[in-house]
Amino acid sequence: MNLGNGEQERNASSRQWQVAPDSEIFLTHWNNEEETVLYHLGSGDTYLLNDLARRVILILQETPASAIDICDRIGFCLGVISQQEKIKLLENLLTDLLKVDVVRFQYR
Amino acid sequence: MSDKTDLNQTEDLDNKNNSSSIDQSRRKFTQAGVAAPIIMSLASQPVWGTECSLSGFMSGNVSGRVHECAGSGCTPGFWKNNYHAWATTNYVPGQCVTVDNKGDCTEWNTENATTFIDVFGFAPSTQVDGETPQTMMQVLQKEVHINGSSSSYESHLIAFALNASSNPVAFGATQQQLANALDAVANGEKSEQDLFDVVVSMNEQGECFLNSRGECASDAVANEAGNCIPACSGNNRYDFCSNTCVPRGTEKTYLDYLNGNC
Amino acid sequence: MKVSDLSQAEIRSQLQHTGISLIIGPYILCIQSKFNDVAEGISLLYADYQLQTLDSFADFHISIESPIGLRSFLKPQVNFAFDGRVPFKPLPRDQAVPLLEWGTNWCIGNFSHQFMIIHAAVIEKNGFAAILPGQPGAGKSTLCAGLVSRGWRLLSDELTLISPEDKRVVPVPRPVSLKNESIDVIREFASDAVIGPVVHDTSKGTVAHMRSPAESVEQANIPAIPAWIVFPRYKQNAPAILNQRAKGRSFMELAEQSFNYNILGVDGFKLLNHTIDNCNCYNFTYGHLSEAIEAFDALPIPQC
Repeated sequence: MNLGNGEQERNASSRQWQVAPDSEIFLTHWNNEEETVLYHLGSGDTYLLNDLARRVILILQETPASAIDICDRIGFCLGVISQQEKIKLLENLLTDLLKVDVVRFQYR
Repeated sequence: MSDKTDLNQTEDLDNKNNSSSIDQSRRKFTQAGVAAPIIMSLASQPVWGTECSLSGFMSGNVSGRVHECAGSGCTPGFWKNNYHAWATTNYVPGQCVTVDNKGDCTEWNTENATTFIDVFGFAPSTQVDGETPQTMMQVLQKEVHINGSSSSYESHLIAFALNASSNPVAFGATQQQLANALDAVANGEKSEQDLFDVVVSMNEQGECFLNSRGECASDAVANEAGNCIPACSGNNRYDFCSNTCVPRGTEKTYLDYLNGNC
Repeated sequence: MKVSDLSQAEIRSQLQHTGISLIIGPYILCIQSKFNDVAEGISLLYADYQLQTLDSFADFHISIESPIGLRSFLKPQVNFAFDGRVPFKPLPRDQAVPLLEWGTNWCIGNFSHQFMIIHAAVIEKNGFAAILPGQPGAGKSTLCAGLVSRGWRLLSDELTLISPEDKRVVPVPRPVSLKNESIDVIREFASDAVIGPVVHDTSKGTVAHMRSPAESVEQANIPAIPAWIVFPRYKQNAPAILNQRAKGRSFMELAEQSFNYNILGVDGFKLLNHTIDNCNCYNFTYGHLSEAIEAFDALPIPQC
């Protein structure tokens, strides 16, 4: 499925992501480290996540957000690569987290 | 309403960002984002559909022997040595022909058992022309006798079928999946070597989920008490004086041996 | 009363009849066997262990025996039986003493879910524990044997037990398993170490066991606070180098080396998290035991 750029962006803004509740996931992190460990109660699986994933989860723990909102808040949207590419990147990251039930989404 | 729709993967953005004018800290973020968010994972239980699986083999995701499997399998050697474990499967290893006064088997016979050709559709390489079709247990025994261990393709197919029948969840495959894989090899869609590699990996993965009762010689099996007892085939019985299988009626029993009647 | 208070004849007799009950850390192990070499092995390797009176409860009933009944169809063998069950294939008869050790490891590893069990050696100094996880061949047992010959207390050479109640390491000192070249290395490094019979051609190669130092056995009721997690790697002639290791990766590695992290669920996650939080984590490469000891002696106590 190959969406045109405008289509991609429209879908990205309509997908509202949220993180699994605190009762379902347990995060641990150490200062000065980029990686974080997450335990998922439902599956019993444990994951080592990269820094970007951790920041995304922290943002979503405050409030559900779209990839565009997350992109703005993370602040890495300033820079050379395009906005669209960064949103796509975030959506892919969120999709990987979706597959292990750490995040969910709904259309608004 | 949530929907686990699969979305497109991004291209590798790294290749677009090789210009030296890019701020290194941004680049690091970008690289981190391009890499998958999950660096390592530790599953809580065996997972279907990993590289060490028959479904992976069928979908073309497997190459060569893999040793990082997450399930449990029992080897051909285990199945050869432990006839009691076959009770957890829908295959018959043979029958007990002599029982002691405690009810433990003292001699086993591999006849009247499930034949190899009935299960797999082809005769095993150990089959001799004119001989009655070999049973699965006989093939395992012959392998040990000829090669010192049951490591051939046919022995591993037997073990795979038994594992899948006994505990498809822990093992990670069903008998139907094996049948489909064998069809694929027969049709030339998949190679026998590739199937062999997957079958071996799965049979050898983890700890056998059944209790082993011991390692016995090629012509012996372990009974319920964990003792090695003779296992002749056909109309033969074990001769305790010569330690060989002889035609029924001509054998010296264990009692003969104990009483010095050899 | 200790094992060393019994004569060889008394040890043989007890093993053959009612069994010998040893106190090993939090466990009582009742052992029975008709084999003389098992009696000798216990007399040598468990000399300093306290005996429990026979009518007391035992955590594990173990017997080292030959497969009974009809004549054996193979060379003489030995079985490990646990609570009447025979969980393993028999081994060649001369491997009776290693089988006792491996079988006991299996019992503790499978039936100790009141603790978190990690496949790692663990030693103690000044109340703090250093945990040494590692794949087989990483050199952790050799390093462990070397350290306990130079003032560190042996908590365990194989199974690190962490209590979820007080988060401390529970000692379960037992003979240290040595393989292949490390047997001679330790003989040379620690001339007064007591090493049991050398057994060849096991699935792990040539093995022998080093008796745990008497002080380690006497202090088995004193837990230790985990302070260091050191991932060792032996490399011939390499200088001893300690490198800080990321805690996230150390967490994942320890979880993988744990026998029951998954069974403990979120409690396992929290216990491991607490342990990692309070420890410094290192990669450690070494080529000479004496340098390794110096590096360990210089480990800084983590700041809370």
